[in-house]
Amino acid sequence: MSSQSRFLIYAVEDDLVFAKMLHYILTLDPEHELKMFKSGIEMLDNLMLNPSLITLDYRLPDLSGGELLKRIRFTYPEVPVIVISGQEDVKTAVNLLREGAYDYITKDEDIRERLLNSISNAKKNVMLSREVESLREELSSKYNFSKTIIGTSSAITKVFKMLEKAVKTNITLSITGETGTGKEVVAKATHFNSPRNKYPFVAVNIAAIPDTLLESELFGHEKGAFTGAVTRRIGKFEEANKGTIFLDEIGEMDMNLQAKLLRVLQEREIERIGGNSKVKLDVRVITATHRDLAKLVKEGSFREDLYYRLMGMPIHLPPLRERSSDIILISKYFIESFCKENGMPQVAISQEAIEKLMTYSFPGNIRELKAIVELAAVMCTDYKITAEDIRFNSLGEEANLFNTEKTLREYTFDIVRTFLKKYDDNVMLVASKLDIGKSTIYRYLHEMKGEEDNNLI
Amino acid sequence: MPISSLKYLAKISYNDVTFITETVDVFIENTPKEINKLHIAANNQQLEEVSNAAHALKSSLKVMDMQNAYQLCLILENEAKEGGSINIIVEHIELIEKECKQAYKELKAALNTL
Repeated sequence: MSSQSRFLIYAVEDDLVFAKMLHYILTLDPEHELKMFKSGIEMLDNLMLNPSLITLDYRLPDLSGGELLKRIRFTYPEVPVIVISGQEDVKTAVNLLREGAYDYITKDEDIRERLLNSISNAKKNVMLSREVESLREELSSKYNFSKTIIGTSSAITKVFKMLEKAVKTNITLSITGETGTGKEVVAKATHFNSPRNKYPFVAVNIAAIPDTLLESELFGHEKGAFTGAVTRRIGKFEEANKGTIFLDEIGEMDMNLQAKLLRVLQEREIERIGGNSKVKLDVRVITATHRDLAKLVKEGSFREDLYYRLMGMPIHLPPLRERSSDIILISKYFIESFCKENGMPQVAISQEAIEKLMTYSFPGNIRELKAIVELAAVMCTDYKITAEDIRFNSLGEEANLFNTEKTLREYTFDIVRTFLKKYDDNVMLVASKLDIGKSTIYRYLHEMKGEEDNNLI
Repeated sequence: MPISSLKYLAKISYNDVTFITETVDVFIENTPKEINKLHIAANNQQLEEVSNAAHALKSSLKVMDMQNAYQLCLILENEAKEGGSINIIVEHIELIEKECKQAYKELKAALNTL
């Protein structure tokens, strides 16, 4: 039996004859590993070996079963404790169960069946708890910052540093960024790296739910609150209690509902539609939008008070074209994950393919890059992606330098700005790429700054 | 009338002879020591010790289906816990000891019939 599937039972019994009997019963299942103790203190001294279950004689020479139960629960509250007593005493049994005992069994002739049934049930619970814990760890590891936010560019490093601060508090996050920049991934990573990770992460896409249904979806409703409300239903806010609610596309929310959301955020409680009582909430709120909320406030389609309430820590996710230096790392990560998930041998990527990716503007951002490299991994031959395997299928128009008429000087500045963003502000590299001197770049930067300052005045 | 039996052990183990024999052996070897503890505690008028020792012995008596001795032990445990008369306590210990001695013979005989 592997150490992972072992079920270690501690049995505390001072009577030798009864201990012999317990030993017999508890070792009937070959999966059980048993350790017997004659006193409570002796057992407490061995608790660090992390038993899966403990059976206690109610009365021991050194400690009472009740006292021992309290001490176990204090240190290892998740370990099920079965109290075995010589006499049937309902009051004692009720008190022990209230104190957290898993079961109370008397030393009668049917002890074998009762004890084995109780252990079997406890075992199922322990296995389920272990499974939940392992899935939770897997999820946390999946959303570990180092796995979700890939890149070394200064733009993404800044985001990474902000998120590391954000997870230590309950501050509201407002994530902005173009479509495909990974807003939901960042929201999930924040949740799973925060102390709230044992509770739910609930995502709501405001734009995907009709305005008429959104209030009920968010705050829930009581039975009969409106036609069709045949049962009581809890809303997303209640579902996310103690965890995190992610309100995606918050800029699309109707003005009436914005007022209700503001009240919920201020009062930290909700009232289901058609209900009379309020439900207290402890929820972290993360919002995201691809729109400029400040502009929406100016236009009058987003409440100013809600805007400030939601702002918390603003996190802007840069578009991929502004962090071109990360494209190699992200591409390799996606190719590796894709091959692993599909049981394929690892696929390499040629220098030409990387260069082709680096020249593209990625209007669909990381989501688009992922689709492109995954398709390339499938289409390539001999497990190597070449430039021919990289196909761009962007729906939108690519950003074109000549979309608007500018002066030659403005065009020059645009080119320098674009190259600096693309090469992570590496002046030497940009100068080399543009085949000009680095002092020229510094002169342009100086002039650009002067113009920006003048514009501010 | 027998005052003990292997009924409890047989039921628990579905008549596992090895287990029954080994458990009876433990009972016969260990119980005189437990009774001795009771005598010493009673002689020293350490009533809490008497109560604890009676409690520890009680489960064994139940396992050997010694109904009368079990009840005596229960009374002894409570009597000692509540600071009862030492004479009554000594009397109860002697009665339990007597029943146990008879039980050793009965249980040995019962083992031979398995």
